[in-house]
Amino acid sequence: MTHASSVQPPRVAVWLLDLFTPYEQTESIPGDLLEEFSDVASKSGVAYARRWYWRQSVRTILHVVRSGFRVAPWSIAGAVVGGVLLVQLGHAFTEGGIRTWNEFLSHHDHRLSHFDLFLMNSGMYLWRLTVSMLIGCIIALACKSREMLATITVSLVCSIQAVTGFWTFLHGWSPPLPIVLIGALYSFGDLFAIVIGGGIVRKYRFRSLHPARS
Amino acid sequence: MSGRDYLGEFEHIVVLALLRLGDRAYGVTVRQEIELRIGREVSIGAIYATLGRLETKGYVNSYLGDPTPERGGRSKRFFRVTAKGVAAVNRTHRALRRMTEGLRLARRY
Repeated sequence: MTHASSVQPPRVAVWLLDLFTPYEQTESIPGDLLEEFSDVASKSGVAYARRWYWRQSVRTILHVVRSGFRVAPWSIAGAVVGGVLLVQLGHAFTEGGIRTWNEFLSHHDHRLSHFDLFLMNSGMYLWRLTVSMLIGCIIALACKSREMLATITVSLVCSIQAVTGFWTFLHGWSPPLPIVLIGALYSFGDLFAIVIGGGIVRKYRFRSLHPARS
Repeated sequence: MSGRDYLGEFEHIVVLALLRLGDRAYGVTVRQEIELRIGREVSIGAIYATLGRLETKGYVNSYLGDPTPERGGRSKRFFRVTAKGVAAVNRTHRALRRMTEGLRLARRY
């Protein structure tokens, strides 16, 4: 006999649903799915209920995304355009910093070890990721309840440039796998940082709206 | 909103489910009622997207119930059809009757 009340739905699916559900529906959609999950688990078993929950979550997120574009198209479009411009500005700022830093190193690198150079370049890359994450936070703050939709859309738009850059990096030579991975991290790491920034704002807003469930 | 608005296909199904369920109509019961009657799994997101549109049009209204432990302390949102919604259903039914009048539709089981 399955003790359905003690069985919980898949945590990753719950987390994704919490990220995308509009604030006005955070009582109803997750609550309904949790209630029905227990019912499905007691009738058809936990494994079936978990698959059912995943199907419902993915389809619900797709509906929420479509609905977001339909309900607030100009708001999302404005956030995306503004976000892409901010990303370009952010990259110009960090690239300028990296160029200045490399000029400094070229005059002083005879005194620095390879490890020192590695640490310094890693620090510059982390700075670039931090700027991207802050940009994600700004986009999310501007978007009110559609943070994830806006930040993911900005990332997808910027991915066109990232894919082009990565392709240019790989084209004409066959780098070893570690170099390919570093190139991919450099090209695409910003995109994830933007989405993470959106997620941070989302979580903070959710906690302030529902302190009992934080 | 003009008096010529008809309900979309899924809006029609959702409003009919609300009318069947009466005071028991919230996301879970609406989803289960539709799934039982049309024999197809429907996502809770589709239900709420449709209910959101219907509420914007003034065809349904909603209210929050009490939180319950089986819902992780979350409240149910109950829905009911307004008079404007009933009029929209009747208008859509009349339009469908007029369109199907005289047609010999093959039955499939």
